Amino acid sequence: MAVALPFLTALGLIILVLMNIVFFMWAEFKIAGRVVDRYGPMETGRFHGWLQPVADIVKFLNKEDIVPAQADKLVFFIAPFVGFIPMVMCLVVIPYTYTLVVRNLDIGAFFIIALSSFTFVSLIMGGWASSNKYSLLGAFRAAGQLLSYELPLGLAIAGVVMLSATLNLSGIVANQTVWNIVLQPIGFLVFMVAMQAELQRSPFDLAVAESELVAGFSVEYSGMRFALFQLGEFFGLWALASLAVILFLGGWRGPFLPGVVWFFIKFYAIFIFLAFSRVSIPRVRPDQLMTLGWKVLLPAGLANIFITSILIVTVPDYKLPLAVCGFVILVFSLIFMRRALK
Amino acid sequence: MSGQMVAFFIIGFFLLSGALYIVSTRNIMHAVFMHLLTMSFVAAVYILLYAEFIAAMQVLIYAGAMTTMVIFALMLTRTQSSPEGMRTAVDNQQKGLAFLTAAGFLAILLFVVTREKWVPLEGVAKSTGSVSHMGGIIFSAYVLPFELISVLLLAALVGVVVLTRKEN
Amino acid sequence: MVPLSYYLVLSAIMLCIGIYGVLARRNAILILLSVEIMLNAVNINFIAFSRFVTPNTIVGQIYTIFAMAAGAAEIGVGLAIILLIYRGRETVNVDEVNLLKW
Repeated sequence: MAVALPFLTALGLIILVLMNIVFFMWAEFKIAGRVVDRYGPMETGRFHGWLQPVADIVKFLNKEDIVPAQADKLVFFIAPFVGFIPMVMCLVVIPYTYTLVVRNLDIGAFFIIALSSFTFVSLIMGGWASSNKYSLLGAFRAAGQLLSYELPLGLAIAGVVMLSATLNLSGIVANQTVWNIVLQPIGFLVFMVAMQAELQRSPFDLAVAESELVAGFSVEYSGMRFALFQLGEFFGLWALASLAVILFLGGWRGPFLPGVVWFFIKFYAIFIFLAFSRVSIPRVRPDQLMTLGWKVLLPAGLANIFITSILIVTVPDYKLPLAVCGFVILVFSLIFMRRALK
Repeated sequence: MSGQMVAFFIIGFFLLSGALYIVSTRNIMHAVFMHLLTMSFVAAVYILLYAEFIAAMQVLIYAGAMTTMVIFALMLTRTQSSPEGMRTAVDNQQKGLAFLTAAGFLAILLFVVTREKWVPLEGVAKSTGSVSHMGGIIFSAYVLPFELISVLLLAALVGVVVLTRKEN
Repeated sequence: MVPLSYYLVLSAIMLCIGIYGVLARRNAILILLSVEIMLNAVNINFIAFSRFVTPNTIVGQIYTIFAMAAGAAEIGVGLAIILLIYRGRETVNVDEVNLLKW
């Protein structure tokens, strides 16, 4: 029984995430509708269209599985799985409370970053195996975008790891007597922007929604294969949003309610923030994307690490100066971000 | 036959067949994708050897960034998308001699490796190693190589940008 | 517990596969991939020794970090050089880059 316990926990976790997809997709439709003064789905299911995501999934399952005649069959089949499986593996290290974790690895945060680097190759494999010029171009643009934002993601995490002196995710939460968002505001900003770019959500979804590149790297994928790409993106959303909650928002710490409830409250708060930003911010141009990634987020992340390390080593009580310097640099980087996005 | 042995043989089998596929296939893109798989299996070997941090680094550097870099370079040199590219062979005429050299070297190495008795210098492992332990060692005893490697990476970065700039 | 010599044999076989690849391939990018196979074989060797011979001061793992970084820099510069050769000669076959031959 002791051997089977991690497997059962992992299985339960996967089922939980799959059931949450229905809720997340529905919430996203409704929020997207309400922000522009529409109702969103109202028909499927009696109450405000809550079965709409189920209808979408059934639609995906019903579609004909078309494989292009000149496609490289083996790579075409494998590409969605290369993107999907590492994202599911990321769920292993996420702690929902002190004891609810599948495997408390000592390298928790680094594990998730390393596994999310498989998505670059899955995009390129999908784009190349479709034997379609446009999907290849879309795949390279998407891979360039993912590569540019991997560095700021790592730098934001490095700041938090420096504060907690451990890569272990439970250890990082245990160290947060005051939430890390107060001590590392730039880190939080950089992490939020880089997370949206890594997940290819709006406003960073150039690769899949650009009208001159048809539908990006997944144009030749239909039915369940396309759904696998989307599913991989959803598991990535779960992993990175949980990472944001653990690293910056204090994980399961909170006054009255049990830890798991606090975790999911913060988790859904981050998700609602992402859904709102998807609807309200227009899509960035490719040159704005690259400028933002390399000229704004990377220097902001490096300045964050610089200030954090100097203050931790020299000042014994580093929390207040760190928060103050963090907010000052946050204001500066917001000004630069405005200038970069012109 | 413990679990570690079974895992070692499975991983070793896939690792060696992946490496053999890379050096013998005619399809360059398949060689690059198989390279990704081989690097992941090397990371699995590192995990068997209780080096999880190095395994994560291996996945991040090789499987993530290196494969993408090689694919970009392949696309920029149009090796297989032109009709001439598809017709050229990928192996040169020295295949036989190369095989003999590699086999001879392998024989010598196997002879040395299986005869020697390696003495553990430090007795039993006190812990399975952790990241803070490694960080302590790097920044106390090996700080000079650390600085030098950062200078090396900076030089490589600047060098690549300068080399591939188009003359306008 | 898998004995040390098993890991050394694995790394020796991989090294020789890499040597065959470097000597027998014509495309420069495939030669670079074979060089990377050799580098990884050497890294497996280092980590196996660090586990069995020096498990407390993990010398092999630290060396592997530096070897990986140096290997990554080398591959980057190698690919840049291949791009330059391609720009000049429209080919990446190393058989045809032989201007300095007698």
